[in-house]
Amino acid sequence: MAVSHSLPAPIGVVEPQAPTQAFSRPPRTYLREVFARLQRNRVAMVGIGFITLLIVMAIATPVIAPYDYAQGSLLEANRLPAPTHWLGTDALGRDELTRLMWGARVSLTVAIGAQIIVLLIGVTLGMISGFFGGWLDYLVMRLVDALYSLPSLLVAILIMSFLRGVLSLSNESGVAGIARLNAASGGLLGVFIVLFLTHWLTVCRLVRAQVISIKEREFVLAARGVGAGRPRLMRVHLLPHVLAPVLVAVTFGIPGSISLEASLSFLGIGVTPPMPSWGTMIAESLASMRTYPLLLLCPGVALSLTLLSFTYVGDALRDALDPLMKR
Amino acid sequence: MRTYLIRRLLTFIPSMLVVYTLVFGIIHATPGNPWDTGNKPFPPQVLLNLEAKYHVNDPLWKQYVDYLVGIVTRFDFGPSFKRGDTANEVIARFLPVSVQLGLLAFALAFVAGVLLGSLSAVRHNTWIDRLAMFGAVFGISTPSYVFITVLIVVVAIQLRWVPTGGWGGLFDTRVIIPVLALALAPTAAIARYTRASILEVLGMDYIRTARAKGLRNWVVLSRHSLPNALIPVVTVAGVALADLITGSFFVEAIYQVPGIGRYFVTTVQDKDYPVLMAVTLMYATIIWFTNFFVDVLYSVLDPRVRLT
Repeated sequence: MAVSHSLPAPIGVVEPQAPTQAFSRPPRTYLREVFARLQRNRVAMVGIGFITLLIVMAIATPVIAPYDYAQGSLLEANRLPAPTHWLGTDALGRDELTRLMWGARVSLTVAIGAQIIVLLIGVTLGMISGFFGGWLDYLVMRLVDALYSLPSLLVAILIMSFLRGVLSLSNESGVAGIARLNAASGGLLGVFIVLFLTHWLTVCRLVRAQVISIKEREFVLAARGVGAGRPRLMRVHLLPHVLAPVLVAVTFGIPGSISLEASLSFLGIGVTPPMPSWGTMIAESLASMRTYPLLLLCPGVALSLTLLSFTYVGDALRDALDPLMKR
Repeated sequence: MRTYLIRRLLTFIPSMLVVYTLVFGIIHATPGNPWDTGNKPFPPQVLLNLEAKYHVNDPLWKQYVDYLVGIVTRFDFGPSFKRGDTANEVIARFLPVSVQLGLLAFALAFVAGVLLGSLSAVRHNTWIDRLAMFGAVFGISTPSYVFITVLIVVVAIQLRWVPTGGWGGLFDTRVIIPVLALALAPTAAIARYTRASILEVLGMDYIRTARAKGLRNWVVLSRHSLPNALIPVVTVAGVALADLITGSFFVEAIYQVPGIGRYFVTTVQDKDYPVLMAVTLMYATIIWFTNFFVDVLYSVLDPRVRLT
C-alpha cells in the first residue's frame, strides 16, 4: 500500500491574507504627525524655505560675499544697482549686498544663539520654580513680574549701557577676557547677553505654569509611586509636557530677538561699527532717505521679510503642535 | 474677589521695589559719572559743588534709602542732573504728549483691528481673509522705524500732504503720521486675536441655536458673536494700550514729537539718573496697573474666570 507523503491538494482553503485595501494608515509618531501637518501649510513651508536659504547664506557669507563689509571706496559712494554692485553702494562706498549678507549673519547668530540659551535657562528655572515652589518660586516670580512691567527695549538699553561701560574698562582683570571677546565679535557678545536677559521671562513663566498644572496629575503620582526621584520626575515625566508650548514660544522669540537687536543697533548701542547690522544700516540710511531711498529699502525689506517668515513658521508650528485646535 | 484684589494690589510694592533696586543697582554699577565731560573737565571746585548738591558721595545704602524715602513720602524724584528742572517736571511736561498720541493711536488700532479681524473671520478662508491676515503678519513684522520712515518719504515728501515732523496737538495734521506708525503693530495684533476668537465663538452651540431660531446673519454676528469674542481681545488690547501711552522712542525721535519716549534713551546716554529712575518707575507703574485692570476686567466680562 502506497503511502502518499504529500498532503492532498488544498481545496477551497485560502490562506488568510493581509487586506489589500488599507482602511487605516500605519500609526505615526507624534513628531511625524506634527511634521505632516506642518507640510500641509504652504505659506509656512515658504517661510521655512526662506529661513533655510537665509541661514545657508549667512553661514557662507565670509566665502561668497563679493566685497569687504568694512572697506569701501569713496569714489564709488551712493551708486545705483549695477552689475558690479548688485544693490548699489552706501554713503561710504561699501557694497550694499555684502553688508546685507553680513547683517543677516549678525541677526541670525544673535537671535538663534540667544534663544538657545533662553531655552536652557528658562526651562530649567521655570521647572525648578514650578516644581519646588516656596521662597525660591516667590523670588523668581517677583523678578519676572518686575521685569514684565518694564518695556523690553528699556531694560535692554539699561543693561546695554551698563555692559558697554564695564566692558570699555578692559584693563580690569576680571572682565578683560570678556571685553576682548566682545570687541573681537564686533559687540555681538553684549547684544547676546541683553537678548538673553530680556527674553528668558516668557519661557520661564510658561514652563512654571505648565509644571504647576501637571505636577499633581495621576501619572506623576504613579511615577512617584514606583520610586522616581525628583530629577527623574522632572526630566522624564514633566519635561515632554512643557516642550510643545516652549518650542512655539522660542520660535516667536527669534523674531523678537532679531527685532530687538535691530532696534539696539538702530540706536547705536548694539553691534559696534563697522560690523554691519540691519538696524545700523537703517539708521545710517535715514540721512539720505529723501535722495537715496534704496539704502533704507534694502535692510528694511530684509528685516521685514525675515520677521515675517519666522512669524508665519511660529503660527504654523503652534497650529501643528496642537491637533485639538479648531480650524 | 476682594481678598484677591487686595492681595494682588499688595504685590505692587515688592514688584516696584525690585524695579527700583534693579535700576539703582545698574546705575551705580555703570562706570563713569554724569559730569564726565571728557577732555574739557569741569573745574574741581565746580565738581565738588555738584557732587555735594546731588549727594553722590554719600554711602550707597544712604543714597538708596534717602532717594526711596523721597519718592515714597514726597513723590520727589529729585533734580535732573543735566537739565535745569526736576525729574517730576520733565515727566509732567512730556508725558501728556505721549499719552494723547498713544490714546489716539490706541483708538485707531482697536477699531481698525476689530473691524479687520471680524471681516477676516466672517469671510474665513477667502481671499479677503488671506489678504487681511497677510497684512496683519506684515504689520507685526515691520519695525515702527521702518514704517514711519516710509510714511514720511511717501506721504510727507513725495505727496506733500503733511509736514515731515513736529507736534501741534491732536487736531493738527502733524498727528497723522505718528499715529499711523504707532497704530500699525497693535492693529495687526488685535486683528489676529479678534479673528481667532470669533472663529472659536462661531463654532459654539449657542450660535447654532441663534441661527436655528432664524436670526439674521448680521444679528448673529453683531449681537451674539462679537461681544463674547471680544473678551479675550481685552488682554492683547491692554498690553497695546500700555505700550502706546508710554510713548515710542523711534516714532517720537524720527518725527520730532516732544514726548517722553524720546527722553528715555537720552537720559541713559546722558547718565541723567533722576530722570531715568522717574521714567522707569512711571513706565513700570503704568504697565503694572494696565495688567492689573485687564485681569480684573476680564473676570468681570467673563464670569467663568475666577480670580484666585
